[in-house]
Amino acid sequence: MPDPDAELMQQVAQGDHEAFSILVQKYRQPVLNTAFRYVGNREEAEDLAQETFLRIYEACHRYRPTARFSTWLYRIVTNVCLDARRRRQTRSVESLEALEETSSEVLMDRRSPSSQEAVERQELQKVVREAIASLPPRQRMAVVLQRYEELSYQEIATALDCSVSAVETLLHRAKQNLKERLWDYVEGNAETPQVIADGSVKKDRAVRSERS
Amino acid sequence: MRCQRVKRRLSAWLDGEVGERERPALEAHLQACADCAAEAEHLRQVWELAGALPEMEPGPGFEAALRARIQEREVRLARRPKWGPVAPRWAWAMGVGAALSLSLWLGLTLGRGLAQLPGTRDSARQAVLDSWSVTAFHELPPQSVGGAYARLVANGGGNER
Repeated sequence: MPDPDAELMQQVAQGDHEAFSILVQKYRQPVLNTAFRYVGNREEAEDLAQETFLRIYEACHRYRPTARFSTWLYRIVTNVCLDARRRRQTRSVESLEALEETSSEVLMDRRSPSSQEAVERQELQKVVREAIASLPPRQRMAVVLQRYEELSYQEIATALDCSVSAVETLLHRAKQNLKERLWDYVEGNAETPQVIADGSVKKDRAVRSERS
Repeated sequence: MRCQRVKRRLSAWLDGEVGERERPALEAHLQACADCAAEAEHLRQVWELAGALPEMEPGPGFEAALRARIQEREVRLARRPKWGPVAPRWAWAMGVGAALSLSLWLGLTLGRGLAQLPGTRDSARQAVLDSWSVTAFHELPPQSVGGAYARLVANGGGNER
C-alpha cells in the first residue's frame, strides 16, 4: 500500500513547499507531544520540534521510502531529543521547575470541569512527570513512544535503533522503575485521587466501592 | 509457565506484544497464580497513571518560526563557497599528491641536469683544492715544511685527496 506521506516527501524533494507544509501540519502535534513529554519544558519542546522538521526538510533529497514516513519521522524526533538530553544533562530538573511555574496556564486539559479536580489532576501530573523524568534517557523515550504515541515494539526499535527484545527490556525496566516511584498512587496504597480509564479523577473510596 | 518468566513477560503482555503461541499459557498462569496476577494488576495501574501527562498545543508562531529557520539555512547555504569552508577530502588528497609528484620530478630532473654539466664537479673541486693547497702556504718561509710543500705542488706534485 503506497504511503501518501512518502509521496509528499518526494514532492518536497522537488521543491514543493506546500507538500512540506502539509506534512508539518499533520505531524506537528505528535512531534510536539513527544518532545514535550520527553523534556518536560514547553519552550524546549518547541525548539526540538522545529529542529526535527528542519532535519526532515534538509534530508528530503536523501529520503528513500524503505519504511513508512511516520517511522522515519519518529526516528528523527527520537534522535533530536536524545541529542538534546546528552547536551543538557543537568537541565531536566530545571525544566520540571520551569514547567511547574507555568503548568496551570499552559497545559491543555479539557477533561476535568471542576477546579478541585483540576488541582488534583495537576498534582498527579506533577508526580507522573517527575517519575518519567527520573528514568534513564532511552527508557524515558521508550515510555513516551509506547504509552503516548502507541508505537509498536518494532517501530520503537527502529526509532531507538535497537532490537525488539531490547525495547521489551527497556519497557520492562521502565515499568518497574515507575512502579517504585508511583507505588503510593496505585489503588489502595494512598489517599491520593486516581485517574481511571476514562481520564476522570475519582476519590479512592469511590474507586474501591466500584471494584468491590 | 514459571512465575519468573511470566513476570518478565508481563510488560510485553500488557502492551499487546506477546505472540499468539505464548499468550494462552501466560494467561492461564495468571488465572492460577495470585502473586503474578497481583503483579500484572499493579503494572496495569502504573501504566495507566503514566498516561496522565497532557498534550501540548503549539504556540501561534510555530510555523512562522520554522519557516524562518528554513530560510536562514538556505541563505547560509547560498553564501557558502562552492566547496564550503573545507574542501572535499578527495581535493586535498589530489593536491598533496600533485605537490609530491612535482617535487620528485624537479628533484630528479635538476639532479640529472647538474650531473651532466661537463667538469662541473671536478673543476669546482679542483678550485677548492687549489685554493687550499697553494694559497694557504704562500706566507710560509721557503725552508719550512709548508714552503717545501708549496714548491712541490707548484712543480706538479701533491695529489690532494
